[in-house]
Parts: sequence; structure tokens; C-alpha cells
Amino acid sequence: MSRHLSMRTANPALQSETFKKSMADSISNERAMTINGVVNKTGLSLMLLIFGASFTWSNPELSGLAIIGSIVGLILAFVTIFKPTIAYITVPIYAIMQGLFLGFISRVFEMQYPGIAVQAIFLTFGTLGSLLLAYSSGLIKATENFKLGVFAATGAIGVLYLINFIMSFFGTGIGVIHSNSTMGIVFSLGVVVIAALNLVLDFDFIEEGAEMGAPKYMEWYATFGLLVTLIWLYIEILRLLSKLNSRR
Amino acid sequence: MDFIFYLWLPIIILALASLLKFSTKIKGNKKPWIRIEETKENE
Repeated sequence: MSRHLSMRTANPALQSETFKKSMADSISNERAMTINGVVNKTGLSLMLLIFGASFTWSNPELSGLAIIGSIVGLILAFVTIFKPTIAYITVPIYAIMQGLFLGFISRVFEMQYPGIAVQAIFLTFGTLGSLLLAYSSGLIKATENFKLGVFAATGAIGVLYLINFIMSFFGTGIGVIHSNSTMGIVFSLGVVVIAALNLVLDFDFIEEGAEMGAPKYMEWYATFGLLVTLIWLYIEILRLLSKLNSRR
Repeated sequence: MDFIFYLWLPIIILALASLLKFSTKIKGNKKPWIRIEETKENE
């Protein structure tokens, strides 16, 4: 039980079974996962994401490209989760596809509230840097209770979003998710905090993978997990900022 | 004050607290300049 929890993360991409499956490969594989490798691959993936985003940002009339990006991105995410060994192919394409989607929605928000995209980008990377510092200093530790708490909270948000998605087919929805009322802002703030805390679980996953000598392809998989969390955090910050701006 | 300030506040506080934690870690790891050793009476 303890071992199972120690490898638990709320990120659907980074589940406990992931390492267990890959450990068998790692025994025969001489090249193991390193933290440095994950950092390099994350940097490369972020560059690809920015490349994709800059395309739809400067061509907002290509909304179809953003829709294709989000659908292909979702398919690639599932392919990566079920077949991590080919993550070195799927993750760079996933980054470009998500970039196309993010560039477009950022532009849509930007047209409504000028300056919001830059604020969201800085806040996302500010949160990443600050939590990386807190994790490496030992100020925030990914204890079993912490992991369990973040896992439960992320699951609850996921269920809430799923219910809202189903309700949207009937022309209704959960008001607090989209509302700019005080409750709506508190909800968004809570989601941003949970998304940010997922980064700590990702750092823990990466550190544990490197310590356990997971196979090299897990570097791409860990990058994918980090990318999923960062994209989620960015979208939630964008949503929070738009709610706050609409109250001005 | 602008709401952006309030969003940056926890990020800055967390970063500063982490730096403080780093500095106390480094201080704790330093070897003392003077070491006082206990000596036996007849030494």
C-alpha cells in the first residue's frame, strides 16, 4: 500500500502502474531516465508548443486549426498514456497540437481583455519556478497524505467538469465554473491551487523515476505529464484572470 | 490595489520562503570554525 501511494500522482498520465510496467524494460536497458534528460525534453517540448501557439496567435481566423489541434492532441494524449514507449514521437506532436489550441484561445481572451495572455504566461511560469524552488529546498514535500489530498481534489474537479460537460448538452451547466461571482472566483482560485500542487506530484514522479532507474523513454513520458499539468494550469489561470477582468 | 498583485503575492512569498530554507540548509551544513573538544582530566 505504502509503495503504491508513494508512486501515486493525480495526473492521469502519471499513474502508479506506469513505473511498474517500465521497470521490467529498465533492467535490460542500460540507458536510464535522468532528471537532466527530462529538463531538456521539457524545454524542447515547450519550444514546440510556443511555435504552434505563435501560428494560431498570429492567424486567429484559422479557428479550424485550433479545433484540429485540440482533437489530435486528445487522441495523442491517450496514445501516450497507453503506449509510453512511443512517447518520443507522440509528445513533440502533442506539444505542437496543444500549442495550436492554446494560441487560438489565448488570442480570443486577449481580444476581450488586452494583456491577459502575457499575465497568464508569467503567472504560469512564476508558479512553476516558485514550486520548483519550494520542492528542491524541501519546503514542500510530497508526503503520502499530500499526494492523497491532491489526488482526491483533482479527481473531484475532474468529476465536476465531466458533469458540467454532460449538462452542457442539455443547455445547462454548473454555474460556479463559469460565473464571475465571488463564489466563481473562489472556485477558480481553488482549481488553480490544485493544478499548481499537481506540479509537485510531477516533480516527485520525475525524481522517483530517476532514482529508480526507469528506462530512457520515461523521460518523454514524464515530460508529457509535466506538459499536461502546465497546460491545465495556464488555462485555469486564463479563466481566473478573465473572471477578475470582467468584474472591473 | 490591482488584483494581479494579490495573485503574485503567494508566488513571491513561497519563493522567498524557499530561499530562506535553502540558506538555513547551507548554514546547517557548514563546519564550525572552532571545535571545542572535551579532554580527559589526566590528558
